[in-house]
This record gives sequence, structure tokens and C-alpha cells, in this order.
Amino acid sequence: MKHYVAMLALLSVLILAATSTLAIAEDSSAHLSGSMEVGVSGVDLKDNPARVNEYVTYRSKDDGVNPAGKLNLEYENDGVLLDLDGTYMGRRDQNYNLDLDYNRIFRLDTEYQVFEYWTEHDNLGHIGATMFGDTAGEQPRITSDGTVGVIPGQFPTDVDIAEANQRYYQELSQDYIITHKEWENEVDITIPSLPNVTFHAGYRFEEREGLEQSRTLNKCNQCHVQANPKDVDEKTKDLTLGITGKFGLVTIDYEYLSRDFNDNSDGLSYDYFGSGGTHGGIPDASTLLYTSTEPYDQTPDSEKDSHTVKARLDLERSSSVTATYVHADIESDKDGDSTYTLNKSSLKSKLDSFFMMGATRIGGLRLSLRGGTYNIDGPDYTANFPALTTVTNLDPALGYDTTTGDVHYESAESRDVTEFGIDGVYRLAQGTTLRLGYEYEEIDREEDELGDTKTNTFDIAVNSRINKELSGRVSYKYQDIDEPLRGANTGIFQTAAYQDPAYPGMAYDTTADYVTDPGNGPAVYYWNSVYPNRQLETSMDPEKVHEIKFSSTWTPSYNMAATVFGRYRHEENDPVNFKQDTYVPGVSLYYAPNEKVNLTMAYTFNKMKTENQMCVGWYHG
Amino acid sequence: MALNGTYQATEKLLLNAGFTYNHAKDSWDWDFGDRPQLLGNGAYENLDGYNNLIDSYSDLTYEQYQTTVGGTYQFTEALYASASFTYDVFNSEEEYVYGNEDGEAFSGFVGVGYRFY
Repeated sequence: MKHYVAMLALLSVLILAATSTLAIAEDSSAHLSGSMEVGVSGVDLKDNPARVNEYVTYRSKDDGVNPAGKLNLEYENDGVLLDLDGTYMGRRDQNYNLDLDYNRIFRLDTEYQVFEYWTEHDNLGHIGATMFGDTAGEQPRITSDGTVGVIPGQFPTDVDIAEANQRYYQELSQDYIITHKEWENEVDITIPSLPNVTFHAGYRFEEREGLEQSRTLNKCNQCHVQANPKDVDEKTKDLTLGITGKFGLVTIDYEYLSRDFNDNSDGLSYDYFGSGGTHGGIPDASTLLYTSTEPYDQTPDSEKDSHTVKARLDLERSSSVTATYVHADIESDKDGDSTYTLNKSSLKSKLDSFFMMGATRIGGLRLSLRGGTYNIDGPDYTANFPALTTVTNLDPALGYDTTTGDVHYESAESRDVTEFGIDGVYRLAQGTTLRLGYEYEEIDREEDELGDTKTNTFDIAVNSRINKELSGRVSYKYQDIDEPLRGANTGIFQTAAYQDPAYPGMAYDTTADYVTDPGNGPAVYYWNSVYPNRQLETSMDPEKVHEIKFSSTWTPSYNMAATVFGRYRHEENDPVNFKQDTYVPGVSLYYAPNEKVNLTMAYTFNKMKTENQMCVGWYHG
Repeated sequence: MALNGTYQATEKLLLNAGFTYNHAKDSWDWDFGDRPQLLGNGAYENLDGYNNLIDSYSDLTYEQYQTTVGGTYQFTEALYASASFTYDVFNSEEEYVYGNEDGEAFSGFVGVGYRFY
């Protein structure tokens, strides 16, 4: 009800504003135009609304009608320009925009929107290991918000399959819907006595509220996958302040941004199970970090402050030079929870970026150069997990200190990046241009295991207006990428010592081999056998990319047009046997056979084929 | 694929209609039976066919249809009525990951408006 009251209050204000403006409009110098519309919106849903109504139209899940209205106003009078648009189709579907310009001294742009969307709801049944109805095990272990934390016992004694299944159906019945609200404001002020300087201010408020599915893992985690409903209540606030000054040929722009993110969602927790088994003389329970009710899936609050300075020098002959410097500090309030602790109370990242770009014209050639560097200094910290009391044969090289439980982490984001690019556009003939481009990027990552990536990009394109009826563009891009990011040591077990004689190029191993591998004790576990032996890197990032694009538009008459377009992209990474081909052809048509009829048609085909190796874990419990 | 059109039926009546069709299909082909000796001792062979369910679970297909009709009737130069109705259909061929996602939605808007110049 309060939403309807709010809507009626808003409409009242808008109508009052419109009425007042209409009175003003009687002044001969004023001009008012626009429209007002009132009505009803309604929805009737059948079966599952989650995909057919994924981005909610009027109502998310319940049939019914809403009061609805639209308002558009354009008012102009003596240097004052006002443009107001509002649409209310239900409390889940709203959009308002107001632009106000007062003699170019004061300019305001404010926009508010509300929309809802359904989020992913995985039934976990496709994870073959968690066989629903497994009478010999306890899967799926899925709870709802009403049962989380109150599971009566642990495997294998107190588990009730029927009870577990009941929780499963409870979780399946949840509606995972997020309401998104966003309010954006920008103000520009130019003081008449200081016409070359403009002050800027902005405020943005974004809110996500609702329920989403949160999945987590438990002990032997390829089987023990769980899902719970998570309350979502996240707020992001941005404040920007800036100034732009034009001093002759030089334009300087500065902006400060302060961003606060707060997660007020209720914390989720789950019972992490123990295990009653003993393997290789070692109790399973002693190899688990915790067997208790513990929190998971919590997003820490964070803050970001950034300073951006841009300078542009406009020279003769359409030449210009632009430089941009950005400094940003990001701080995340994270010091651990009951499952681990950090040696810091917050994680801090820092960004420094400097780029320059220049453009000029030399005869028929339009030339531009760009280059710069940025550094991301991510958090470097130690996490302390509960120490394992029984097992002492973990390899210290894996990063886990079995005495203290400390693990040292370095952010994968920490890096130095250098970029350079050059583009030339040459006019070959009337209406025809040739574009040649080259770009180099080098990513030097702080974490050595993740490697350094160097990318060379070459592209060529021809644009042509062949005649009044036919125009087109064709382009080709080639990328050569040295050492794209790979999951270091997370790939497929593959060493020369274990080549599978029946399948050349692939490897196999046996339990007996694992036991005798250097460093392994008499017991065989995934941490001392499978993980250390994963030596083949894997990646979905290519080393080589070829991409061809074309489009052509034929306009035989004023009432007819046809466009044909296509894109082919080939990506490959031979060392990890990755290959991906993408085909995207399409056509669009416009035809107006007479003054009363307009017709449009569009068709797009998209095919992507990927070949890759992957590591599939095989588990049994 | 999308088709849209407008038709000025009379001086006062403007009609519009649209139809959008989307077909998406995913598949993953890998027969784990290719490597029955993976661990040598046979413990992880393709018993009970569960392994190859990964293939089946990846055969996802869905279709979407959206049909919209609407129009505006101009009573006078300023006063008008507008209406728009949309019928959406979502059909998923398999239920492996997200269950039965089939659904239909009718949505509509009817309103009276006033234009001023």
C-alpha cells in the first residue's frame, strides 16, 4: 500500500508541477509541450515465471493489475529548459528522468529507476555425484532458511534421507528475486563571471534487495554441495566532485570519487560435517579444518576513493594531446571469521595509472598514438586456518604451515601493465578509407606463478561508400598473446613418466604409483597425490586470435534498406589444446511499402564451438 | 529473429505489432568411455553410466517467443487512448540444471492520455 501512496504522491507532485508550468506557459515567451497518460498495467503468469518473466514486466510472480501512468513534459522559457519523463507501470517497474538547464549556469540531470529480476536457481541435480535419492549416502544436503543450523546429526548415524529430501524441496520452492533501485544525480554549475570553469557534483545510490541462491561446499566437496537462500541487502553510494577549466588551448578536468559499499544482508551459516571414516590409519575427521556451524558467503563492506586528472591540448590542423592520471585506494573491511583470521583488519588495494594520447592529420592520413602504464598494488596478507593436528606430511611448498596454520596470499590482481598503440586512417579515394592499427600490452604480474602476458594486436579495416546505394566495411584483427593467464598447477595430471601407452599424449596413474611418488607417505590423499601432480596448465585464454568482420548496407530507395553483417572469430591455445570458433552472421531489413506501413526484420545466428581439455575429479566416499 | 511493423489504419488509429523468436542450444560431447583405463584398477570406470550423464546434463535447449500487439486511437488532436498486449512463451527442452522452466506470461497496458503543445 505504501508504494501506491508514494506513487500517488509523486504523481500529485508531477501534476502540480505540470499545472504550475501550464500557468507559466501562458506567458508568450514560454513553451510547454508533452503528454500525460493514466491507465492500468496487468500480468497473468502460467507455470514457471522465472525465465519467461526473468526481467520482470510489471509484476514478478503474482497475477494482478497495477495503476500505471506516464508523463512527459518539455518546458522552455527564457533560457530555462526542463525535460521530465516518468513511467510507473507498477512498483517493480518504474523509471523517472529530469533534465533542468537554467541559462547554462545550472544544469541538473537526475534519474531514478526500479526493476526486478529473477536470479539463477540451480537444483544441483545435474551434479551427478550428488544423486538425489541416494539411499546409501546423504546427498543432496540442501537446507532452507528455516532449517539451516539445526541439522540434528552428522554422517553417518543421524542422517535421515527423507528429512534431507524435504529440505531439498523447501529449497527448490524458493523464489530468487532481486529488486534493483538506482538513483543518479549530476549537477553542473558555471558561474557567469567565471565562464571557462564548470563545477561538477554527483550522487548515485544503488540498492539490491531480495533473495538469491547461495551455494557452498562441505568436507569432501565434490559430493557435498549445498544451497541455501540468502537475504540480499546491499547498498552502494557514490559521491563525485569535480571541476573543468578551459584555458586557451588547454582543457583540464579533475574528478574525485568516493564510493561506499555496505552489505546488510543476514549472515549465512551451515553445518560443516565431520567424517567417521579412517583411511591409511588416519581418521578422516583429523584432516578437516572444522566440523561445526560456520558462516559462509559474506561480502565485506568496502570503500573506494579515486582522483582523476585529465588534460587536453588542442593544436592546429585537428591535432590534440591528451593525458590522464588516476589514483585510487580501495579498502575492504575483512579480518576473517570463525573459520580463519587474517593478520590485518582490512585488505587494501591501490591503483596508479597514467596514459597519454595524441592525434594529428598529415595530408590524407589521420594518425593517433596512445600509450601508458598502470600499477595495481593488491593486498598481501596471511590467513590463519585451524592447524591440522594429526596429519604432518603436507608439503610446505604448497603454502600451508602445519605448525601455525598460516597461509600466505598475494593478490592475483597485483600487476604492472604497459600499453602502446598506433592507428592510422588513410583516405584512399572519395568515400573510401583504410585503417591500420597496432597495439601492444604487457602485463607483469606480482605473483610469478601466474606469469607475464604480452599481447600484440594488429588490425586492418576498409570503409567504403561505393555509391549512393551501397556502403560497406570489412576488417581483420590478429592477436598474438604470449603466456596468457593460465591456472598454474591446476590443470590435468600430465608428466612424461606417466604417459598412457594406449592413449599417446595423455597420462594415467595408479594408486600404487601415487604411494611411491616422492614425498608421499603410505596413505594416499588428494592433497598429497592428485593436486601436486597436476602439472599440465589449462586455460580458456587464447594465444592466437583471428577475427574477421564485415557489414554492408544497400539502400535502393528511400523506403527500403537491407544490411548484411557477419563476424568470424577463431581463438586457439595449442599448448593446452584449446580452440574456439565463433560464427555470427545476420541480416536486417527495412521496408515501407506505402505511407501507412513500416516493416522491419532482423535475424542473427550465433554459433560457438569450443574444444578444450579439463580436469574432472573422480571421487567416492 | 525479430519482426516489427506499424500500420496507420485510419487517420485516427495507429497499430503496431511485433514478433521475436529466440532458439538456443548447447551441447557437450565427450564420451568418458574413451579412457576406461584411467586409473588402471577399474575403480573409476564408467559404471552405471553416471559419468556420461555429464554429457546429457549439458544438452540444454530452450526457445522463447514474444508477440506484441498494440495501438493508439486519437479521439482528438490532444486526447488519445493507447493499449499494448504482450504474450511471452518460454520452453525449455530439458530440466537438468534449473528444473522445469516452461512458462507463459500475458502482460498488458491500457491507458488514456492527453497531449499538449
